[in-house]
Amino acid sequence: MNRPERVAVAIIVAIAITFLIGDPYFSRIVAKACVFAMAAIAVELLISQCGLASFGHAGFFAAGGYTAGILALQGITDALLLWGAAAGVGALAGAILGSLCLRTRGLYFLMITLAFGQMTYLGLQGLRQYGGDDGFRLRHGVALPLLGAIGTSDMLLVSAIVLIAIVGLSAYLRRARIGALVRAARDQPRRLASLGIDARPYNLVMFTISAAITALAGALNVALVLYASPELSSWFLSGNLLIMVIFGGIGPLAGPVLGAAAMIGLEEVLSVATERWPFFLGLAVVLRVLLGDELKRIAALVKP
Amino acid sequence: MKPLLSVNALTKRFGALVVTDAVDLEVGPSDVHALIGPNGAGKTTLLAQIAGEIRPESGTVFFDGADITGLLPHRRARLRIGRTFQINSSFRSFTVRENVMLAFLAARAVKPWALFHRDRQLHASADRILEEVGLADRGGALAVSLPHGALRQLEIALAIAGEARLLLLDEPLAGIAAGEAGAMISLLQRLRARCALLLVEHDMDAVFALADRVTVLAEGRVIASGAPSSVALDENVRRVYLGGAA
Repeated sequence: MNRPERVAVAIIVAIAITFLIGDPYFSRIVAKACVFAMAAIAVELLISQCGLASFGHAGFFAAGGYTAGILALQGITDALLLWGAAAGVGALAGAILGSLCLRTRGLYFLMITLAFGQMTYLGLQGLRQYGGDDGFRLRHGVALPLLGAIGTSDMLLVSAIVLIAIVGLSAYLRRARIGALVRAARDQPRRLASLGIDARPYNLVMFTISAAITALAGALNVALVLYASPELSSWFLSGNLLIMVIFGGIGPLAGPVLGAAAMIGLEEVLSVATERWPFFLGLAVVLRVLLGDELKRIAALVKP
Repeated sequence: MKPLLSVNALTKRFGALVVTDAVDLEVGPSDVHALIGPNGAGKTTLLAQIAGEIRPESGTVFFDGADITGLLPHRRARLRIGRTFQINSSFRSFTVRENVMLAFLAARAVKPWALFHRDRQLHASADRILEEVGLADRGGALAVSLPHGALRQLEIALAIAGEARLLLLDEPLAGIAAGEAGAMISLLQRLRARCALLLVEHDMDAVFALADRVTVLAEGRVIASGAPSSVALDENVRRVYLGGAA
């Protein structure tokens, strides 16, 4: 699935089904899947286009969550303001950290992004006035202009709309020249330079956009669960985002959305069934990676 | 006539090994200058220093009267110094046409936010270049699917899309089947009308068919430089390189 309108239709169908079921607990899980799908799209964008695997995106997720959460504690409820500020902080952090991280590639890039993610974690732990290790809770949700307060059930719809917009952005970046340039730099950096193109600014723009999307997802997550803690920036969450991307497949537009939905769905189902759910989740990932090509062949057989 | 490219006392060491040893070299605006020498003579390293990928220890590189010794590779390419690589280095995940379109992006304004694939003008420009290098019917194929000979042609297409004034060609005939070499040599012949060429090549037939001037490198040093006929007769050159073959 590479066409954004098809991915959008699939998301709309999933949301419609969720509404028909009408179970608040299930709605929350689907909303959570939408939020993590956004962050997974951001991570996948860097992997598939720039050839860069980040192990620190949870840092941006947390930065967005803390920005929106702290502003909400000050009494601001306007969602556009809160989420705009979160995306802005994410973009700024992405631009600054990106200009440092992008000096490296491959395993070094993985390590330096991991390091910055961990620094974020320690930094947030040090915020005593915001609960330190424990983080903080929000008493109120957010509100949209004209529509008023957004309840937890409305968050499903809002997350889905934002997710569709981000799918569109990801599709556009792949088709735009900037996408072509960073892919070309991923394939043959020396060759691109010999044509007169310096790929560094374009990679930095992609990194910045990816960071902003992740921070926005973090802000929506805080609006959904009304809680923020340093755990949001843990390497465990960065790894989870990478696993979602791997699970969904790198390249197709729908990959990270499916990956996020599958991982969060499996986590919910397995954690109800057994206490040892992480083991089975890991097993599912291993099977998905080992059987990836076979699954594709089966899917091709089923296709009309 | 004022040289287009002028390399002066260029020196590069890798540890104790001197790979470029006080090399002087000049290429005129419409010259075809061949750089030959045994393996390990430092030909590719010299080309990489002219293209800006490797920094020399000392010495200077002048292009069109300006000192470019400190410029990064993409800045030099903007001055219209084109280059092909010894190892095929086209963009594998793109089609042949898209490869050339990427080269055109640099030559014109990049406009990163414009769409890439559906640009008619970019398409037409790319197809013109593909026609010229003999890849007109391969435009839609993925570069990764091309046979070696066609990839060598694509290397040239990428290099000339930016209307280079100087082309650095690193063994354009490397790995090309004997039957196809003639076509590549005549393609290079046609290039000499467009720009100056600095050619690293092992194929002596090609060198003597194309070059106005030949410089012979051995162990990083220039051991002879001049017209092809005089270089071929040089005792020193015959001993270290041409051997009995010439």
